[in-house]
Amino acid sequence: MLREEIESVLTALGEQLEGLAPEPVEILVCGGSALNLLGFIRRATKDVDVIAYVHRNADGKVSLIKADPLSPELREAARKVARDFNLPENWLNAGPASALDFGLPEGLMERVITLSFGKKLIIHFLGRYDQIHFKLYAAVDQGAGKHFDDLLALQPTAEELEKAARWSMIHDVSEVYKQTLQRLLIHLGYEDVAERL
Amino acid sequence: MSPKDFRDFFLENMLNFLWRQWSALGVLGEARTADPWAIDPEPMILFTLEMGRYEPRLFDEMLDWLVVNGRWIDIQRLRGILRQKDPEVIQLTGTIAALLTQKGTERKWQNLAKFCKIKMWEDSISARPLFFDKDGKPHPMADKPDLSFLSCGFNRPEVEVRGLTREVPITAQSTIRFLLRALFGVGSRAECLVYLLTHDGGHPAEVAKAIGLSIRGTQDALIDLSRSGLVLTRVIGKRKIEYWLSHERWWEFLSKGSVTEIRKPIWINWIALYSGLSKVWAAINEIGKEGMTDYMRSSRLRDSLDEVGNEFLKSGLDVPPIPGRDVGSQEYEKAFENFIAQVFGAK
Repeated sequence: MLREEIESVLTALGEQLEGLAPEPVEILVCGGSALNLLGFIRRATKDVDVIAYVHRNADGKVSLIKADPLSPELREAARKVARDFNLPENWLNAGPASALDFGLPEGLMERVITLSFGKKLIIHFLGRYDQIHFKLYAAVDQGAGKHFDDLLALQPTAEELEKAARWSMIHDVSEVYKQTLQRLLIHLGYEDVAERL
Repeated sequence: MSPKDFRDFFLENMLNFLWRQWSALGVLGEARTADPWAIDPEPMILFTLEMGRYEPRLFDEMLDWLVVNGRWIDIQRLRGILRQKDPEVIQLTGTIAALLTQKGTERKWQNLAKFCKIKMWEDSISARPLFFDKDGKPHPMADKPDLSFLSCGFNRPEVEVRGLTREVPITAQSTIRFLLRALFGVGSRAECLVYLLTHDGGHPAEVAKAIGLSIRGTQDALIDLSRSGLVLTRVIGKRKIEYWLSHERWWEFLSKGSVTEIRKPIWINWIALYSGLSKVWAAINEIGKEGMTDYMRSSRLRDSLDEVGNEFLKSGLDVPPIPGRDVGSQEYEKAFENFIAQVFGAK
């Protein structure tokens, strides 16, 4: 999916939810679809990665709830959209939801870009700074490929990379991970950042 | 095509289709049908009660047919199918059952009326029109309403049963159900045989689901039939008993001639299919409402057509495939129209 199709698909998801969800569904999304939609990259992506449900209490205080598993109404709406747009069954998935277990970058919700798709779907897309965190972690985990390319497209600064690296090391505390991360940073031309870790 | 045109197109196709099916059963004189399937009267009655409200003549011809040919109707089966229907269809079924009780002598209609627990209307003012124009506008209230219908909350002109319907033309093709009911009596045995004559075999639960009767009743009927030695059993898997019969011997007998000369009817699960078509009709009426986007219209159509298409797919009939995932939402309505026109349109 490219940007226009992602927009159509998410609009369709919102329309389906109007008949299925009693209350508006608010989700936090990262990954290629978010980068596409926000104009950071232009490459085809096949899925939309949901991290969490965004819940607001009566005072407006926000809390994040792990999106795994997706709620029945969201799954049903996604199933219909998959059928209608000939998408893979798991085009909307909670793959990165485990990131919530060890915590998200501080102040993340202040940097999200929020878009509404109809009355029943609000999506908070990770901002550039937080995408750098997720993409760095994924690039270390999976090596050269789309995540690495996406990271380059985000043009991170040394400071941003260092913060992202330190955050990612909370998610994987192994020495092997740290070494791979340092090699990647050196490959990117940030020996100083690698040394400081 | 606008939502209104689309609705008109579907309604017209369904009404033509029902006329064709009822004509094959003797309505308005006998008409041979080129349709290759075995007609199923019970779910067809219920679907006609829904769609016939937009074609009073069809509705009344069906009543006429029921007066003349009502003995063929399997009330137990009709009751089973009714359980899935909405209260309006149940009320209407009860209404015609009460009417048929008055017109005929068969107690079974009285039993059906009781089963439907008809809600009686105390006052005639709150009754609603039974019939609608094809565009959905209710008919004006009749000055001399039919009292049977009025007491059940429906306003319509007096029912005039002319008895012009002919007897069902019994053949070993589209009216095979009637042939078997004539031979084995109205009930589960005849229905089991329709299934076995159009399938390689089946175990009781599978047969029961397809014919719309209870598993217990179906199993008992199959056991009784197998005692004749003309319905056979075989063990499939570990302990599953499947019933089957020799198609060649049975069809030769039923067609009164050589098995090579007859065109065996095709089995279609009409209970599921008519139920699917009712859902399509409900979806079409919903998508006609203002404010629905093109995408949601096509998606709702897909929801409802999936069920209809799957039933045709299972029948093995040579019909166009239901528009699949490769058809985008923009092209879906067109693909849907083609499917409906080719499957239900007059041949």
